[in-house]
Amino acid sequence: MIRATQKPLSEISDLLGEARRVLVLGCGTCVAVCFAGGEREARTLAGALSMAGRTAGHDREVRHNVVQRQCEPEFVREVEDDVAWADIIVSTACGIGCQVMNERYADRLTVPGVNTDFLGAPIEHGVFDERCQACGDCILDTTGGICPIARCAKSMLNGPCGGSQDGRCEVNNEIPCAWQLIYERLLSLNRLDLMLRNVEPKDWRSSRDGGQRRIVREDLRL
Amino acid sequence: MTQFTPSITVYSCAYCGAVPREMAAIERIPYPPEAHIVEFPCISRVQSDVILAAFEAGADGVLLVACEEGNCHHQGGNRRTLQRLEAMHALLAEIGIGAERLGLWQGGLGQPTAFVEQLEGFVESIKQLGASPLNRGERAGD
Repeated sequence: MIRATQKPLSEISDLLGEARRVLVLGCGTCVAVCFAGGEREARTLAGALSMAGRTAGHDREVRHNVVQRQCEPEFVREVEDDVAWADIIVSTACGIGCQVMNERYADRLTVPGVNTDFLGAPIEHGVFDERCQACGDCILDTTGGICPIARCAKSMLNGPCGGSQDGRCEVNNEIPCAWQLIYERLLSLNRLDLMLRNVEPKDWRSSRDGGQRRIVREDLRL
Repeated sequence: MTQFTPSITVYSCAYCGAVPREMAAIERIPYPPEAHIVEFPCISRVQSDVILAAFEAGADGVLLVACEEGNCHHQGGNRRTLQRLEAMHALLAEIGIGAERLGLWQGGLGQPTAFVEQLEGFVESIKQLGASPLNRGERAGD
């Protein structure tokens, strides 16, 4: 899922400018699971902004609400009344949710309350690791289910590089070398033959290099 | 000049907070009337939103009563509260309420006197600080 972290309170306060009515809008999906922008985090942020405003002498009212998925227009329709009341909206959803809010409610500015970090998974309670870069051309079948695009600092397709030391990446020895992991995984699966293949250069047009991506499913269109 | 009477919210564990409170009642040890005790099944349930809600509702101070180390009925609830305390103190300082208005006491089941002493000490410390910045002009008394 999408992983995010809340922006510092001071930064969010600065984003509010002279707004007197602030809506903090959480999202009940990815950012709720990573404890960055779900219902509880939106409520906490709203309380903190409200009280910070009061102690600083600002005449500011802060409300909060949450939608199940801020990244889908039909879900954000539910908060029309709250949006109509607000001067500004602080979205604690990912960057997608924040943009959907700005598109759906074009007469109001929605500002981000979180930084969207990466697509990842929890590896233990409170620890999240990047797992996918959404490159649009998945090769996990050839790498034992370990993504070298997201987990190798150089996104190498024929690794490891010369900087791999004792199973660790030269960029940061806290990071395991993705290609060491791939080797060990393929060894355990008795599929080291997959490492002997010379992988051709990747066509990055399916990733960010081709500009903004769009998927059209004709079978789903109305 | 009237004396400032603080409003203190005590979020208490249902074990290591509730039992000494009951014992204090049985032994007729009075505890400060300024303390409004709210019990939770486990102190770890008291997260940042709950603490902020108390201040927003008018508390001048919030005291968390948790189990002693190694004595949590739910094994690690008290440790979770300790893990969160530093961030909560930082948040309270940043929003202008002040970190010192949030206290923690880790007590034992059979310590009614210590429980009451902690309440008295915390109430006194909040009296020294005066009303919460959110309440000034309303209940400051000074």
